[in-house]
This record gives sequence, structure tokens and C-alpha cells, in this order.
Amino acid sequence: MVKFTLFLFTALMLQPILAQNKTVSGNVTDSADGLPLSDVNVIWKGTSTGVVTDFDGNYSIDVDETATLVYSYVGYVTQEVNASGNDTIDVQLVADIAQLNEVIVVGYGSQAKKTITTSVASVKVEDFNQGNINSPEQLLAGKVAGLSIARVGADLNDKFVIRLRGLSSLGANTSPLIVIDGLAGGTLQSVDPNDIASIDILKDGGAAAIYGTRGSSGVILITTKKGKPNQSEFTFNSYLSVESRARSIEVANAAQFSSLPNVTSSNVLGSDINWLDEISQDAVGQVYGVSSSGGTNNTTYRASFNYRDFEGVQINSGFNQLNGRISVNHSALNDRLKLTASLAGSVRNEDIGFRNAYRYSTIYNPTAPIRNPDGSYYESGGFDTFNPVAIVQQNSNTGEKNNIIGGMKLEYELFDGFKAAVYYGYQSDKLTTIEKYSKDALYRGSGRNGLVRWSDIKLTTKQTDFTITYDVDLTDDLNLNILGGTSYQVFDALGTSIVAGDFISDSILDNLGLSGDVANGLADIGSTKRRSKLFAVFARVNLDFDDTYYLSASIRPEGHDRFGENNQWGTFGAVSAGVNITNLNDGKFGPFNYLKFRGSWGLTGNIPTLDRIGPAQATVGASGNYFNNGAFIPAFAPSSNPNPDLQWEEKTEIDFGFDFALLDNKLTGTIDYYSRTTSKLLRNQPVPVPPNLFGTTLTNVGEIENSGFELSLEYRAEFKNGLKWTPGFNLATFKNELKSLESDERRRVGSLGSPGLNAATPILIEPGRAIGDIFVPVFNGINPDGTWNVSTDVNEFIVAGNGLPDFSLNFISTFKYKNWDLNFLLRGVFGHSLVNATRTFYEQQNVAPTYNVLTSSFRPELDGLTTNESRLSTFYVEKADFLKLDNITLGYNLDDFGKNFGIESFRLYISGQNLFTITGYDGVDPEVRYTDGGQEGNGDFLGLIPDPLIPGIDRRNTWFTTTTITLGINVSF
Amino acid sequence: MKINKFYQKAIGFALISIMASCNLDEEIFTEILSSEFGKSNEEVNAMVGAAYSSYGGWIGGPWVAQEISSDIGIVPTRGTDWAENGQWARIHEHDLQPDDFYAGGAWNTLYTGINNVNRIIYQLEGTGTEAALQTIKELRVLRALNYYYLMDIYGNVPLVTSFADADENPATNSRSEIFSFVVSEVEGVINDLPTTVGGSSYGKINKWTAHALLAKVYLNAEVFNGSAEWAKAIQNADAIIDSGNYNLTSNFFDNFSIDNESSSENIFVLVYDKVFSGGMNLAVRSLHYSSQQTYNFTTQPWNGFSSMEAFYNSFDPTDVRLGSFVEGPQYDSSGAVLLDNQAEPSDPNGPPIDFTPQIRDVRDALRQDGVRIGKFELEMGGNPAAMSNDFPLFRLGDIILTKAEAELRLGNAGTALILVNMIRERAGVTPFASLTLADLLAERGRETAFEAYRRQDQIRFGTFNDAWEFKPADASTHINIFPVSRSNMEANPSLTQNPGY
Repeated sequence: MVKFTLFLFTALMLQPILAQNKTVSGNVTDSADGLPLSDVNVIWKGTSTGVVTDFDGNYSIDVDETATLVYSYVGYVTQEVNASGNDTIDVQLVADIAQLNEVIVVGYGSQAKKTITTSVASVKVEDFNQGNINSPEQLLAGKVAGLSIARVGADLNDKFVIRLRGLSSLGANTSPLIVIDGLAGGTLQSVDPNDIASIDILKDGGAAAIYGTRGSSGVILITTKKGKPNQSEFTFNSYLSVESRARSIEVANAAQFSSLPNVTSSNVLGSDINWLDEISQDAVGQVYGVSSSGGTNNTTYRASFNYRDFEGVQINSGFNQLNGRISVNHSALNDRLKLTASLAGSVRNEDIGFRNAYRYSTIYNPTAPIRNPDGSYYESGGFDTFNPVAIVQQNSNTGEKNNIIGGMKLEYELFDGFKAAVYYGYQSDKLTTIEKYSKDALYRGSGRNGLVRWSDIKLTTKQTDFTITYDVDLTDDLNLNILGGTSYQVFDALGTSIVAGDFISDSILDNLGLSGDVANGLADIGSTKRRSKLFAVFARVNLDFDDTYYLSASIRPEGHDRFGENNQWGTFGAVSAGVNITNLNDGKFGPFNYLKFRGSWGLTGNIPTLDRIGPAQATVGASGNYFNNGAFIPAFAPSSNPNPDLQWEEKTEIDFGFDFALLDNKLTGTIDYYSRTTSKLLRNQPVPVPPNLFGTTLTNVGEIENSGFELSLEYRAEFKNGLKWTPGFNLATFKNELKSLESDERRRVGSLGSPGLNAATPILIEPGRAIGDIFVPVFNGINPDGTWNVSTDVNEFIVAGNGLPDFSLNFISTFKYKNWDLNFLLRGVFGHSLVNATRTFYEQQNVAPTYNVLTSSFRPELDGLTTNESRLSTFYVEKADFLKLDNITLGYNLDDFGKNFGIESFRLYISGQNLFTITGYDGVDPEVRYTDGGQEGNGDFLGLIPDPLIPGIDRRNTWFTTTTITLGINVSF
Repeated sequence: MKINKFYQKAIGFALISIMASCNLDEEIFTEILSSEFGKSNEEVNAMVGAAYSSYGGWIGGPWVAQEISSDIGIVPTRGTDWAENGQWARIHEHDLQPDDFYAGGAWNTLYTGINNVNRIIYQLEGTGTEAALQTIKELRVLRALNYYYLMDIYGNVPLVTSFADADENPATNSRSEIFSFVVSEVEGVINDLPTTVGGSSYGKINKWTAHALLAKVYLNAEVFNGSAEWAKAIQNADAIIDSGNYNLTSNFFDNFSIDNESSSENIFVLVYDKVFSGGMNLAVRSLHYSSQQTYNFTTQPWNGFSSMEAFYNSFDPTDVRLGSFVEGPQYDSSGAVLLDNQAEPSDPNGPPIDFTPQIRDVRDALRQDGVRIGKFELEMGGNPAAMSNDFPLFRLGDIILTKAEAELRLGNAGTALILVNMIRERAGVTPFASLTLADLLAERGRETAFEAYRRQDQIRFGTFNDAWEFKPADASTHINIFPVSRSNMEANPSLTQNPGY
């Protein structure tokens, strides 16, 4: 640290000494009304010398003869003027609607923001989140109203849950479609965050309809960085981060445990262990990235390598990842022919660790030793208790993920404004997961005499698009832009899996052929091969009249091979329109410098992933074995009913919004209201057998309604002393209702599990209600006989909360002062509740000695409790509103110092993530649980696909949260 | 404009070739299309198999209904474990509720089997071959067997026998309608059924299975249908006994061993196997968590199902059938005392595990309370949740007691005494000098414990509503048939709930 400080100090001292041999003065006015502009920055380009204009717009600055002056003011276009030969320079600044000329990627093309009539958001590289960012979606967290990106706990290998405008499907695709440089369904791992130039988000149905069947949950378009003509650049980025555990659950220590009512001397084993500490570490991470880009007028290239190596806070967890990417753009034949090609590959190795280690570290006997005198791990042997240190030390859970993504686009301009293009994209993901449990591990291993779960799956997608675009000015005022095309995509999955135990030694767990289970027919072996195909024809027309009236319409008929012959094709589309109200009114409308009203209607679809959708034709599959003539033979029974009428899930959405600018364009913002109905949900409906051959049929049933209001504001302030402050704010509300489902009957789901709470099912699924209502009996204290005063009669249960949020609120601020910059993001989510499963089970002194208890079990409300039953009630349903300081980054720019060494830009920063959380929630993490994957008790394995109809349960195995401090450097030359 | 025409043609050609190359025909790799199935004998056999492979839920459904509601079985709450909102205590206390899991357990297992049979019959009828028609006869008896259990447990249930034109929401039929159906269905085909024993008919319906089913149906005819049919019960039992195909094994436990397919006493079994056919999970439900170390089990048992103390005490100390229990101090596989470090402070001998017959309370028992179920051989190194022991639904020992009971009720005490003493002799206990109905019920208990007969027997003998430990006498006999579960009631609006629920 001393060295670093010295380094900074030296850097500050090395400001170049400049020659000043003349004085330039003048006056700055607004080009529209001729009025003087005060506080305009006037800077000698390439130096840190600068002044601001006074109240009358006058300035005076000392420069040398060759100086160039830069005039900048918030809300106006920056101007540069060469000072040679001029001692007086008067400048007229033009109001900046630059952010409206900003170009946004909208799917199969891009559009100027001002002409867009749907709800879209764009986040450019300069606005990305900073600090310890290991995955592209983290760049966006908190930046876009209605887009939630979060991960429960700090498992580095867990995916971030991405939700746009709440839940619009109950199928597998509840997250937005990811499109990477044109490839629909791209894998986020394939893009290193350092390689991203911009991310655009198609929020409403009007915008997403061009992606037809996969647009219902929104679309996120990622555009990678490209080389620029005649600009050679080399960049180096690196950072070092240290992650440590943040929130904890307070559990009884050895002394407290020893005095619990059911604990006898035989349970007090002499140690004093904090088990959570024993499985945790301060984790170090490091990132190195280099890129090279450049080119000529005709050919540009960019190549990059990024390497990330992270430890996780759980011992023996972490990952490393290498991403390489290369892209080439070439234009020929007078720029009529354009070729874009890119190829990227990544390799990721994961030490996934065990989330259940957290569960058992919370409840393990604090007086137990880690190891027995003979060196083996101590195990108490009770139901659902495992030595947490043994779990993470004896076993391993690793993954390897390889991704290759490549694309090539060839475009030819046949005549002015008319272009035809062909695109081919390919992506392959190969995922291998290997769990190994030692012969000595009580957790899953010893009963099986060593156990291995090994699975490989390879997923590929191939996409071929043909497009034509025609851009023409029909009259002086009327611009027409037409897009037409086809897209064909084939998805393949090919995989094998095996679960096998019984090995003679732990050292051969990688040799499945030596598994006794394989020899004895006790291994579970499976393989899968699936294919599905999509074909779409699409067209879009954009009209722009006089830069004032905008109209857009799109249509996309799409076919899918898994849909019944009667409905193999569906047609999606959208219509939207907008009007620039300020243009109608001579450039001003009330206090508005800019005001656009827009409205859209869009119809999009959704298909589940292949493993959720059965074949369209009736099939038979294995149905156990039966004993026939002295031997077992497989029994076969119907495994699906035919579904000739099956069709696309459909979402219709309307969206109304205003884009506006106020206060001399300093305050810009967007307001949206949307309402969406998703119908024909794809659900496996229980059907009577007979007359059907199989008990469920995949049908289109059910409907969800969502609506919400979104507001985002940004203010750009600039002070006389040169301080720039850009505060931003965004708000999104969420409301949903499950209108219908395969059955009208009320279901109570989300069993909390063993021991003793399998029948505790807190979440309601009932048409006519919001998704995620938490339905539990009321806690009325403790009866005089020491039992719970909590009714078991369902008629006395109440809705004690809802697992989904009412609104989210994010504050973003960027400060820039001279060479310093500071930005932070405060992210808040409000209105949701959580069922705290850890408290339900273990906030109960009488569960000892089998389990340690939470210190909150000493709370006075539980005085007199003598039953050892755990009983779910309102007592364990907690409001989980929170506000987190997601990220704060302080940077210092050493460009001037770097120039001495030929370095173009040189930035050092320090960043903190998740420095604090304000919440009333008692569990480890108040983040929304959007889905539920069930519980894994006593060493079981989870078998369920996470269910979006069961939000709001904080399971016992939640990974603990962390705080991260990052120190980084960005250099380019 | 020539160029434009060229472009038009080129684009038109491109579009046509794109459409042609993008076919949307479905390709399926890991399943068989129904339309292509059933063409070989192998495939037909596999199709029939589904009728016999649907008993994975036997223990959790019919078994629990018959044993845990009786004076033999009990699932006490131990600490937080097995509390489950009081469901396991309520079935013991005869406070049966439509919301509790046992209300649907047996129903769902048995109707799955019935639907499979109906479907397979429908599919086989389509083929019309001789072999298919013969198979249909066996399947009709298998279906009748399921209806027999439904009639026993739920009394009034919907009778669904066809597939193609079945009612989507079939209405409830009366218990006596089901009774008539079972009787006529079995008697209609009994003489056409195969008479082979073991071998190709092992685990399948043969003529003797049909007689055993009829013997049991007639034995309970008074309960099921209001009028006793003792003579017919004897007649069907005699058909089995006189056939000479079955005899009492000298070792009682040969009938429940891992390799019990060689038993000459079992008439019809559900075939279970640790590899091929899971569902036999009594050990995982019963034994102590730590018993994993006794048997080197692949997974930890759940410390649940136990025997009532009074029932255990009804055994003579010399009775070989005491081997039906796992009792006393427990040891790990190396012979060391098995410890439970989380034993309650009130556990009299502390951490060493000792399965004592006493159970403190159905709602608050010690972890080690109660002797456990050991009737079915426990495989060393096996999986307690998927044991390979086949489960006998009918065996000669029970058929002999069936005949004895019918004879006794008809006043032929002498014949009955001889038959009961055959059973007692094998068990190594002194023969009875005389026989009362109460003696016979007690003997049935000791002989057939944990074989899913007890509730039915107690109802027939009139003791099901008596008071026993942790349970007062029943206020009403409506609990002699189970409630239809709420979810089944909601799924089919035509169903009628049983009286009293």
C-alpha cells in the first residue's frame, strides 16, 4: 500500500509544464435563441488547462499559438475551434439531442433512438457497472428499470437470475433471450465482459416481436467491441479482488449449546467450533485481459484474451475461465460488400462446492470436534447432520464448460439503400459435471462405498439468416426503412450421464468401469439425443415523417417441429407509433426540451426448452421392469399423448411511454406503462386415463397477467469548479395475477422437507391470485402446555405475504472531478416476503442435541415451548425489502502521467461490492427467490426443475453472501 | 430494368431453396412412436409388463392403510421427525382426514394399476390373437385384485372397466357392486387360467391366485356385502390346499427372504428387485438412522415404522416368528455397540441404541422406542429403500388360517383347531388345546404381521374400533372405510365422499 501511495504521489507531481504565449477571449451563446450561456467549459485540448464562462457567457484563457479549444456544456453539442491566428473566438453552441441520435441495436439491424417507438434501453460501455464483474449480465444490474439481475448468495458458479418485467411464462424461458452479435440463444459465458461494446434491451412486445417465438421474456442484445479504422489500440486490464463473508446467521456457541434443555453431558464433546468459519475462506480473485485492435479503411480487426481465476468463499470452491475472441470486418467494392466474421472460444473450470455445507455448518454441534483422535472426520450419525468440514474436504463437485461461438455475415449493397445479407452462426457448449464422494464421506459417499455422478451434455445451435434491407427517402420528409428475411435454426442436444458407486479405492473414482455398481447393474446410466428446428420468415417496416411522426410494424410467422401438425406455424408481430411533441410545437413544449409519446402493441411467443416439450406424436417409453418367465424385462407404456393441436404460448403486450428532456436537456427520462397477458401457457395437464393413454398431455392452458410502471431519470450536472455529477434513478413496479391454470383447484406447494415439515407447504397456487402468495397459519404464541398455539386447520390460514416484489428502486450516481471519478449503485427491491426455512426448523431450543439452534431461539416469544415439533406459521414469514450498496468505485485517471510513456489512457480504481445491505430480513440474503428447486434432505439429490410458481422460500442451503474489494488498472496505448 | 428482373429471380430462387432446405419434420431419437410399437412378441410382452410394474407405491399406499391403522403398526413422532402435521398420529388414533396423505395413497396406486390393465386390454383386443385373449383373462383377475383392495380400504369406489369409451368422471359405485364385480369377474375366467406354479407364472396371475383372491373376498363377504359366505371361502381355500402345489415351508422366514422366489408357500407375490423393480422400502421406513452401520446400508434409514408394544408381548418366547422384529441392543457390522449421540436426556440407557418394546407416546416417543420390522430379510450392504424381497400378497399360511376361520365360524371347531395348530407347530409354539375366535385373531396377527392384512382382520373380528394404546375406542364406525382424498374428490366431481367425512 505504501508503494501504491508513492506511485500516485509521483504521478500527480509529473504534470507537464506548458508554454502559454497568448490570450484568447470571447463569448458563448445558444444557437437557438442567441442568449449567453454561463458555466460553459472552455478547455485547451490535450491539457488540463481550462476556464468556464461567466454569467454573460464571456471567457478568457491563456494558450499557445497552436492550441485547439474545446467548448462543452451539458445538453449541448461539444465544439472544437483552432485558436491559431485568432485572439477572439465567439461560439454558438447547438442544443444536444445527441443521445437521441444514439444508435440502438433492435434485432436484425439498428435504429436511431429518436425514431424508436417501442420500449428499449441501451447501456453503453461507459455506463457499465465496474468492479469485480465476471459475467456480462452483471454489467447491467440496476441500470434498466424493470430488468432485475441478481444472484442469491455468493456462489460464483451460480447463474444470475435475469427477469425482465416480472414473470411472463411458466416454461423454461423465464429469462430474456440472449442474442450475441446476431446469434439467438447465445451463451453468456462466451463473452468476456471486457469485450462488450453495448447491451441493448428490448423490453416490450412491440420491440421483441421481431424475435417471435422467443421474445416473450424480452430480448437482450449483446454487441461486442470491434476494431476501428486507422486507430491502433492495445489495452491491458487487470484487477485483484478479495471477497469475504458478509451476513451470517447467529447460532448458539458451545456454552449456549451445552445448556440447552435436551443436551446431556454425552452431547457436549469438548470443542468450541464455529463451523461456518471452518468452511470459509477469504477468497482472492484475479483477472488479466489484453486486446489488440486496429486496421485500415477497408479492414479492421480486434483480438482479445481474458483470463479469470477466482477462489470462492467456501473452501475448495472457485473457478477459472479463459476467453479468446477475434473479429474481422472487411469492406470491398467501394464499400458495397461487407464481411463481418468473428470466432470466440472459452473454457471454464469450476469447483462448485456444496451449498449444503452452509446448511450443516449452521446446525452442527458446536462442541463436536472436526476430527476424531484417529484423524478421521467426526460424524455424529444423526438424521440430516453431516460434518460440514468433511463435506467440503472429502468430496468434490466440479464442472467444465467449453463454448465455441462463431458467426459470419456477408452483406452486399445491390443499389443505393438496398442491401442483401446472409448470416451463418454456430455455437457449441459442452458441459461436463463430475461429483465425487469419498468412500469415507458420510455425506452421500460411505453408504455407496464411494459415489460418482458424471454427466456430459453437448448443446449446439446452428442459425442461418437471409435478410434484405431497403432504406429510402421517398420524399424530403418521408423516410422508409424495410427489413425482410428468414431465419432457420437447428438445436441439438447430445448427452450421457451415469451415477455409480462401489469403488475399491477413492483414487479410481474417475474410472467408472471399475465401479462395482456398473458390474452389478446398479448404476444409473442414461443418454439423450434431441433435436428441434425453428423456421421463421419476418419483415419490418419503419416510417419516419418529418422527424416527427414515426410508425413501425413487424410480422414474423414461425414454425417449430415439436408442435402439432394443426398448429405448427404461428404468426407474431407488432405495431407501434410515436410522435415528437416538441417538434410539433416549434421545439418547445411547456418545460420540455424534448418530448416524445409512443405506444406499441406486440404479440410474442415462447417455447420451452426441449426437455420440457414432448414429441408431437404419441410415444411409448420405459415404465419399470417386470418379471416375465424367470427374468426381468423392461415394461413399456405410453409416455406421451399425441398433441396435434399444440401451439405456441402467446404474449400480447401494450406499452405506452414518454421519452423526455427537461431543464435545458440536463434532465432526461423515460416513463412507461405496460400491460401484458401471456396465454396458452404450455403445461402438462393431468388428463383422465382413459380415454387418454397417458396421464398428462402437454396442452395450451392457463393465463398470466402482468402490468407495471417504469420510470427512469438521469440528470447531468456540471459545476463551476469542474465537478460533474450524473445522478440516475429508476423505478419499476410489478403486478401479476395467475388468471387460470390447468386446474382451478387451490394447491399448496413448496414442502419445507424433513425432518417433520414435509407437510408444511407455504406457497399457494390458485387461479385468481397473484403468483407467490404465502399461506400459513397464524402464530398465536405458546400454549400453557408448551405446544404451539398455531392452528393446523387450513380454514384458519392467512396470506402472510407474497414471494414476488412490488417494486424495485435503483440509484446510480457518477461524479467526475478533474482526474477523479466516483460512481455507486444502490439497488433496492421492495414488497416481497420470504419463508425463512432455517428459522422454521432451528429457531427451536428443543431440536438440540441433534441440531444446533439459532440464537434467536432464545427470544422471549418462544418462552415455555417444550414440544420438540417445528411448526410453520406467520412467525417465520418475514418482509424481505432491502437496499444494497451493490457497487461503489473510485477511479483516478493518470493519462497525463501515462503520456510520458506513450500511454494513451491509464486508470487506477478501487471498488467495493455489496458493502452493506439494509434489510429487516433475518436470513442470509433477502434477494427475491424467483423459483424453487425443492429441498435436498439428509444427503438426497435435488431432482426437480426449479418451479417459477413457487417463489418466496429461503431454503436452508442458501450460499452465504460476501463483500468484495477490488483494485484494478486499465491501460491503453 | 433488366438487372432488377435478374435480382427478382435470384431472390425468388433463394427463397424457394431456403424453404426447401428448412424442413420441420420431427425427429425423435430416444422414444418409440406409438404407431410403430407392438409389432413383435417382445414388444407385446413389454406392453403387458406395465400392468405388473405399477406396484411401486404398495408400501406407502395399501400397506400403510392396513398396518398403521391397526393394533400392530405405529409411526410415533420422534423429536421433530415424523411429526408431519400430525398425520401419522391421526391414522393411529383413527382420526382419518381427507387432507392426509394416506387418504389418497392406496387409491392412486391401485387405480394406476387398473387404468394400466384397462388400457392394455384395449390394446390387446386390437390384436385379436389367441395369446392376447388368454393374457386378457389374466389381466382381468389382476384388475379384480386391485378392486378387492379398493373395496376393502375405501368401500365405495368408481368401477371403471373399459378404456375406449370410459366415463371421464366416473361416479362412485357401492361396495356391494364392487363385490359382485370382483366375484363374477374372477369366477368367469378362473377355469381358463394357467395352472403352472412358479417358473413362467411367477409373479403373475394363475388359477391358484384367483382362488386365493376369491377365498379372501368370501371370507370378508359379510363386511363387504352384508352376508357371510364362509362355505365359499372354504371351497376356494380347499382348491389351493388340495392342489398340492403349495406347502408350508419348514423355515417360516424362507417366505420373506431376499431370494424368496424359491418359496413353495407364496402363491402370488409383487416382484421387487434392488436393480429392476423398486418399491420394497419397509427397512428404510422402519430402522434407526444408525442402523445403516449395522447392515452397511447404502442409505440412511428414517427411524419410523415400529410395532405396538402389546402386540410384541403377545408372542410366546419360543415363537420363531419373534424373528419378525428387530429388537434389543443394536451393534454395528463390526460388532461394536451402536450409539446415538443425540439420544434424549430421558433415554434410560443413554446413547447405546436399544430397541425396547415400549413406546412413550405416539406423538412424543424416544428415538430408540419400539421394536422394528425385521420380517423381511435385511440385506447386508443393500439399499433399504429398494429391497429385493418379493412381497407375498397371498401365501398358503394365510389360506390355511382363512379356512380355519371359516370352519370355526361354521361351528367346525375341530377342523379349525387342526389347521391352526399346523401353523403353530411350524412356529415352534405349543399347539392350542381349544380355539376361540379371539385366539384365532391373535394367531393371525402373529403369523401375518406386516403383510398388510391386519386392518381387514380386525374389522372382520370386530376389534378395529376398540381402544388400544394411545387411542380411545372409536366414537363411530365410519372410519372402517377410509375417506376419499380431497384432491381425488376435486379432480372428479362425480365422486361421493364416504359417510362421516
